[in-house]
Amino acid sequence: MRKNVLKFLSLLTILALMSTTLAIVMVGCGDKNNDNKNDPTNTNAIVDDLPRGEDGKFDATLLENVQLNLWSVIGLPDQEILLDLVKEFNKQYAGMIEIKVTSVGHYDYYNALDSTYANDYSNFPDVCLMHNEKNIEYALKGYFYPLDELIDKTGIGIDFANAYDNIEKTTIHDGKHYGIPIDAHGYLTQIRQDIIKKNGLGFDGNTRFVPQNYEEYQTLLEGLRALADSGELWVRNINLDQDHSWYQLKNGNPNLDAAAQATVDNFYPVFFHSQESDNLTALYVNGGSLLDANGKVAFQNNEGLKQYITDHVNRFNSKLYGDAGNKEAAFPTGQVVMFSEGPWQVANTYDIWWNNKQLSTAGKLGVTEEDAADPIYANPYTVARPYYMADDSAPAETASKWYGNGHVITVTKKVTSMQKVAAALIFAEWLTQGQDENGNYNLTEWCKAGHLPAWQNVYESDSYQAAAAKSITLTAMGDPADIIALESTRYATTLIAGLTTAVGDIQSQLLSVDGCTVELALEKLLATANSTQEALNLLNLGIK
Amino acid sequence: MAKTIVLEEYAKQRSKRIGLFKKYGITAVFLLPYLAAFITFFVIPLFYGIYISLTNFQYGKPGIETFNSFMWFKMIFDKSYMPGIYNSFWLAFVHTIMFAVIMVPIAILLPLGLAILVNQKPPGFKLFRALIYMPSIVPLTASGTIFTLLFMSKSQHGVLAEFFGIETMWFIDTWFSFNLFGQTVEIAYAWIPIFFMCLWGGWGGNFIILSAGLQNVPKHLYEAADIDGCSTWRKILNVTIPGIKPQLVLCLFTTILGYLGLYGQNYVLSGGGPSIAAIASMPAGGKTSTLMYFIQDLVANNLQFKSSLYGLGAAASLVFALFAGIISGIQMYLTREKKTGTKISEAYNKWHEIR
Amino acid sequence: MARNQITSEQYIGFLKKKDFREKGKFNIGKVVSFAVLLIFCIVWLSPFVIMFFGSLRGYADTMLYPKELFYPHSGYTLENYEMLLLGKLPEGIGQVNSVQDYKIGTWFLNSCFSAIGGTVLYLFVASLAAYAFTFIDFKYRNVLFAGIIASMIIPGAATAVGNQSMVYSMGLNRSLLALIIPGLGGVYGMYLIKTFFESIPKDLIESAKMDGYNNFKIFYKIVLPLGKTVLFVQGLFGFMGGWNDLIWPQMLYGAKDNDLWTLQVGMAYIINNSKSSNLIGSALAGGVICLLPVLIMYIIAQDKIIEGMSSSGIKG
Repeated sequence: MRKNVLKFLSLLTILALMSTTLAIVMVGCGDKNNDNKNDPTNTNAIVDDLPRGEDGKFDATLLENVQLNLWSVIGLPDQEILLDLVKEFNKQYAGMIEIKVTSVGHYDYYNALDSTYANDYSNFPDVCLMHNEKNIEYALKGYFYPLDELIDKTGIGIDFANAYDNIEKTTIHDGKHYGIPIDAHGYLTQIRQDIIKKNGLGFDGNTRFVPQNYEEYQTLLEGLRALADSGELWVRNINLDQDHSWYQLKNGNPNLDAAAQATVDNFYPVFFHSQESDNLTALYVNGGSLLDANGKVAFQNNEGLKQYITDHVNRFNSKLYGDAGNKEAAFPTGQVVMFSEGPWQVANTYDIWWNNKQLSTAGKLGVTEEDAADPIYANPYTVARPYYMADDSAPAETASKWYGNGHVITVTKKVTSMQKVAAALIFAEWLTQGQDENGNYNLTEWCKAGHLPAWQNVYESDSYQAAAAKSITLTAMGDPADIIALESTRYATTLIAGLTTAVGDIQSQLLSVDGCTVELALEKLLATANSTQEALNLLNLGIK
Repeated sequence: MAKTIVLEEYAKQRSKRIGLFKKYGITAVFLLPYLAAFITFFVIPLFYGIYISLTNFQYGKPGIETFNSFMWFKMIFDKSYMPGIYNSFWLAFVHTIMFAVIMVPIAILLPLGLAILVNQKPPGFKLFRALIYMPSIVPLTASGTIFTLLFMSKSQHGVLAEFFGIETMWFIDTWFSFNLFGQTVEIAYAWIPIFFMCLWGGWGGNFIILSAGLQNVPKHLYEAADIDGCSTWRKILNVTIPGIKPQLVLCLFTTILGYLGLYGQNYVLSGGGPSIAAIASMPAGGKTSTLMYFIQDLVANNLQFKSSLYGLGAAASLVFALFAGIISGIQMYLTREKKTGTKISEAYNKWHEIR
Repeated sequence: MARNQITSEQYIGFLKKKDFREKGKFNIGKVVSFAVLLIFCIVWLSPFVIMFFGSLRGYADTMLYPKELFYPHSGYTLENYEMLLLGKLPEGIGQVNSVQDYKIGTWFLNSCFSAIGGTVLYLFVASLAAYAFTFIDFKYRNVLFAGIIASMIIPGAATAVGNQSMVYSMGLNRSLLALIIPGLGGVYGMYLIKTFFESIPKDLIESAKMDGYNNFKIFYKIVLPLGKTVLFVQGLFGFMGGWNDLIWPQMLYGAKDNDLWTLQVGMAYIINNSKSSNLIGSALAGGVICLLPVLIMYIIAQDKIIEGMSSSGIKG
């Protein structure tokens, strides 16, 4: 037995030595080419095969059957609109350009990009329709071309001057554009304006029910809490087929099931803010940034963000904030008056559920004549931008804005033919600046799904304004000039995750048995920021 | 004369050659498919992993890496080099060992108790046996959903909170903490859902093996013990447990290895647990992290780490493999066959018969 | 030897006790164990019950009446299953943030291919190798086998990277073959089969050899039929393992090749999209769908499965 073990061990050692030597040899003669893949700014690999007209300029009508593979990050329901738009484009450019869309969805998109790039390059897409905050991160990995010189070479009329600066800045690195911005949107606050009006907590003499600044928000929260504590807050249930009569918290509503009742114990003025978007709004609105001029993590230094964290603690401890159990269930019952959520549900779901016909039909389910006639009571659900994040320290140029991300179109390094580059740019131009025979922008169609256009001429056009007037989401989101997109950085994922983790950790600590103090919360913010800085150092080591 | 001899020699050698080919040819046909798969999908990847851990391999750009003088290993073993990685790795290590140390004895004793009960052969014991094993066939995603539903907090209408009024925030609160080498280690409540998920889905196997072993204990030993007037407890100690030693060893081996590599349950239930602020952005920076979680965060979960820090993941998995190997080696040595008692008499009898 | 002798009194006392225990209708051991096992099994099986009843609860009920788990407010409904199997969405929910169609049928077939095809192929390959290790004497046989066994210690993580690169460079990832070919090198099954083959009496093989059978014939006509039990058991385990496997198919196809997903990957995707507490019904329904085939197979064949595990435990 021992002899066998010895033999086995010696065999293993020989194998190990052999393979380590092999490894070292492989390391020594490493593959050092692939200019195209490594240097982000390099465009030398593109072969100029543009069909030119008599004047020597590129003539798009001479293109023949150029095929493009586009990967889209858009999920349902917007996906349908995108596919319709692409179909329309393919029709208009039949025989010249054909775009094939693969919908990958935001859950797997970036993972698929990475593993396809590493393992399965022949399936890598030609065009990426992706999120704008990740644009520079992936461009600096060597995935996308810088577009300015390509636009010049093909002469396609994309004029970045028409795009909003604060949105397009997230796609610019070292003065070059790595993507063409399409749209932008941010998290919205859902509001039970009927409860605010009924209790007389509105502004401007109880005629305006959306808080427009920090002080109004604080006043509203405290007002709701005070009335709730005394049990005299008026609420009602607006779910379909539930009893809609007004009742005070201390009395309850005998026609409602126990789980659907709002009581002094389960009522909260607002739920915790979202961990993803609202903290970035708090940071940018107050003039902060994720990284400072030296590239070091700096969000923990911003006074506005610190105030945001402090408010989280103080407001939770005074029961102004509550635990976001099931926001969509609690909101219509009156157990909560406001909550923050992405814009995708607003028009498709919430508006249909909560501004329903039953509320304007008097005589049934406890709806009185007065309720049905009043415009606010008949449409109790409204939605608004988070106007209340800017505190006193906010600089004037950012104080009235908010954070939003959006989508961009990029051209990947897989493309080595100028024809394909041209085709991609033509599609981008068609989508963002193209107009149909009536002068309506194609981008308006896309925006109807609930996105703000990233281009000023589109925003100011009649077709967009008409569409926005009909859409509760677009009306709430307002002017794209107010959107601040993420700063351009190769560490987008890690930085966003760091801030999200900090806020999430603090929210968890507030919910825990020991609770949380302002000091502890700020300590956690600092500790997480340090950890994020260390992660950045690590990533820098690995990046050549 | 010489030619004849040469011919004979030639014939002999030729038949030897053919015999050799036939013998080794056959062996090759039998072994080749299996060995080919084994070498291609185990041996080569293993050595490739060693290779990666010695370089600064970039996931997206294979082939341009250079030797990086054990940088990854320095990160794991040198506290001052990258304190975040050092803390995160060794904390995950402590979590893994602690959980294994607590789980492994329970994972063997509880099924053993159940097996003894079933061995009493109450009515319907076959049904009980089948039912006890049944949860082991449930895939991780399904059992993860069930246990998440059980342990969700009151505001999310988790079953324990709604029906039994247990208000603990399982995935948020910390149970207790203690000091280890100057570092605070916090034990989160989240380990309890993980414990129950491992229990429910993993112990059926141990139960079946131990139960079979129990049935195999020679009856005459029990009778001998009865004659000597042993109480039930002494019987269990001196007859049952030595009798099922091979099964106990098998269970121990698989259970230890299984819990050293704990990952799926943590991932599905707690996502690594409530995060620890000081190492929040590090791989596995949570209170229910394990070694495998650390490795998986580097090579699969976190895309930015996957691109640049793949080598660290490879190095960490080598350290893990080495550690698992040492534990298995120790365990195999401690439980090696010692000839005592009935074994000696049985061996003697056999020898006697042959004689 | 003297101390092992028993007196006649002791022996009679023992016989009396034995008599009493066997004649007694009231065997305390059986009653206690029955009671304890009953209580234990009721608690043990409650997660199954929760999963089953939870999946029959409609979307609206989950939101509005969370306490009514076993008798949902609007009664039992199959709407979760309809949503998953037929794509019919309940009232008032749009498909938010999901992209892939729920191609349950394709996924089911893929899982079958992976589980059944992979198992059959593995049994073939592994039993060939086990035969070689047991019955053919060649140089370094023991060393090679010891090496293969030693590899059991090394966890999968250490080889995952290389495995993935191997599969991609061989182009296997374009087809479903990548699900079954890498698994052919698995050690546990081969070890089990080899241990069983060792218990086949060597004289049988010897006499067959003397009758002029070559190795193939021996394998096919003698060893395989005798090894039916272990092959069946290993086949069952291989099937269950292949069916339940999530990590490997997800790593290969997870991102976008919807057609190549197995049932587990698809369900994981659905469950991930149903993480909010009001979609828990569809998550549970997904769990039931993943589980059902294996559960049915288990109920039918559980005797054999348990016998198989027991015998492997004894010989192992």
